[in-house]
Amino acid sequence: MLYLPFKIALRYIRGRSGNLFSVNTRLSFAGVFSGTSLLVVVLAIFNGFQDQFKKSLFQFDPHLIIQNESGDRKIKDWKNFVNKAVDKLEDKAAVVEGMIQSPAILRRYNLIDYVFLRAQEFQTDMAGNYILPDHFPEIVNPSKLNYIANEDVCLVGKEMAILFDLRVGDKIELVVPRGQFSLKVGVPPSMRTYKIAGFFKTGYYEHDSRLVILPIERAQNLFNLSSDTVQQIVVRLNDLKDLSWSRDKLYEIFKMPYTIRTIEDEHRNFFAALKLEKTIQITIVFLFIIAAMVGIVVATYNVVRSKRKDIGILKSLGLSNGSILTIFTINGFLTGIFATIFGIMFGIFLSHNLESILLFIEDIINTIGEWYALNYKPGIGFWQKVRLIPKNVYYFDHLPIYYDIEFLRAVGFVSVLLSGIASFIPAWAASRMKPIEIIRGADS
Amino acid sequence: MSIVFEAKDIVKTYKNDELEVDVLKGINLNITKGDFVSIRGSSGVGKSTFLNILGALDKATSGTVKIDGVLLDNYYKNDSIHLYRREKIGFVFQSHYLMPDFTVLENVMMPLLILKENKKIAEEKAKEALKDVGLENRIAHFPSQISGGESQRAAAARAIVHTPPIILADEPTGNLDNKNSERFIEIFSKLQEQRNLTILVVTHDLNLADMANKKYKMDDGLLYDF
Ligand SMILES: Nc1ncnc2c1ncn2[C@@H]1O[C@H](COP(=O)(O)OP(=O)(O)OP(=O)(O)O)[C@@H](O)[C@H]1O
Ligand SMILES: [Mg+2]
Repeated sequence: MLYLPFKIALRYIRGRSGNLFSVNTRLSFAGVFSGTSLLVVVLAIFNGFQDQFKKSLFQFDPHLIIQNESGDRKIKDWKNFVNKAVDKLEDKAAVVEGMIQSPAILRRYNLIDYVFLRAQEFQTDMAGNYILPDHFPEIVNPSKLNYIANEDVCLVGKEMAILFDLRVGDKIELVVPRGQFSLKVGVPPSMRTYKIAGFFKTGYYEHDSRLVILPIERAQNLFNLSSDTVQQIVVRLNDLKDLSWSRDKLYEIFKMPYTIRTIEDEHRNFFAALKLEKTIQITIVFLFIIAAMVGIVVATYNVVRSKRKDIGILKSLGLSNGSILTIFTINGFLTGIFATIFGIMFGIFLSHNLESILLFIEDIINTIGEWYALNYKPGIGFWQKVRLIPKNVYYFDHLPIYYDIEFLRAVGFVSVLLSGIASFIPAWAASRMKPIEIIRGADS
Repeated sequence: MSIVFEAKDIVKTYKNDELEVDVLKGINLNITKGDFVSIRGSSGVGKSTFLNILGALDKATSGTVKIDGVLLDNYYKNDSIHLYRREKIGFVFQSHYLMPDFTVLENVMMPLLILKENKKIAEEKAKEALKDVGLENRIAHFPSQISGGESQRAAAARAIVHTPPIILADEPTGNLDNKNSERFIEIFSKLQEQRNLTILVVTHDLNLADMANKKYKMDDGLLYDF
């Protein structure tokens, strides 16, 4: 047998038989439900952006870049420097290597555009093939690419493949400045043809559309550098926490005219944005908490108000204040629990399908727009397509979604807890009502 | 004859801002088991006030109420006034006050469930009470699906179902037309006889008042035999 207050509360949630739920239940359910699901979506996107950003930058871009700012701006005898740096950084460094980074011109038939060239160390296997390094971006084509032939090869971003209509095995010509600028001839160009071994995807649009990666020896040829010369020495750390410590250590090796830049210096705006997002995220959660609380308080007050007469009757029949308190606390609490559970579930569903939903909305807008332009704007007659996820504005080629399970659990826990607290307040007021006032009030 | 109910020197003074109104000026009333007591009086004289004090819905300014030999004040002191309400009193109000989300049967079961009665027994007792008021065919209906007269009879069934020592009825026919009033009075007095109920009814209705074996009139805050 169910405890009586519980039974009464369930009846109030259910409403009169025939209705699935009472109007009040539906309202408070809708409030908490949409609150939690929106919260889940917003946080999934926020976290998704951050996660994606970290993945595409931190796992791929060097964390520290050492450059020579004097003379020909090259670093000679770089392997020696690398060994020194490895010693200095102890176990903090994951990779220390030489690198050549330079803007370049890509030419394919009569198509010319600028790209960004990055040459890094590739180990070779027994057969002399290049092995793809750790922390290399995901290869999307060809799949299961582990090594590439030891020749003039390069790997390019998957967006670039689309931009330039490239296929695996195609040849591209890279043009870079060679030597130093002189007034007579300007900068003499150097060019070389490379075979595309595959397409990678960092998820970072700038990289995926502009970056060309090649083994360092192959770039040394192009730049006319000897094999002991690179342009930068770069460091990847195991943990970004050690960034400033590592920089200070490296300063002991690399004195003037060497400079050391960190990934934070490189992406100062992004880091600021990241911090801002965290702040916004906390603010949103905070606002949600307040809104959910107010929502449940209001909804439960509504229930209490609409059940005023019942409270009078139940009290005159001798139901205790505690039982009245229980009835209305359970009322908001149960609604809150279910709304939270379903809200989180729907939020997850929604964020998983957000991209297709946005594309669907985009489709509808564009269909209507085209129809409108065709019929009512005869002078123009065409429709500028709306893009809700413009690739070149967002840094990523898709809407990244990421859930922090711990965080979701916390959201659920807090939401349920708040439902309890928020429904307790009006329930308390209900338990304090004087039956005489209710009975007199309704009689007149 | 045992006295089940004893009201002594009940005074009720309402204070509104500066204005003090003495509504009850020292009412004494003894009720023995099986009594059917009626109180008449002009509107605003304080009949409902008196009844609400006896039913522990309102507090007297002074005076004592004793029921089954226990002082009402003791319940107030022990913070257990709800026990007094659930164990000692059956209330019938002028308008029926059934709970709209519950069926007629569930409404009538409510006092028993509040007394933590077993659900099966509660259902049996409630069905019997509903049969006694002629509503055996309406048990599954919701209050909005039955007439005013039927509602008031259901309310009477709810007041008696847990056989409290006293039943307090405030103008139970006040909202009913003649035919329904007659029907209610007929059933009510039959119940009283069958179950040997102790009833205190407050009413304008002469027919109802005349059914009582002890009749009083309230005037200027005091009770007079009538
Ligand atoms: N809360 C209150 N504050 C001040 N005066 C009140 C209050 N409640 C009742 N009264 C006054 O007490 C008097 C008695 O009221 P009560 O309701 O007991 O009359 P009644 O005899 O039941 O009248 P009726 O026959 O119309 O139901 C009335 O004059 C009323 O205005
Ligand atoms: Mg009255």
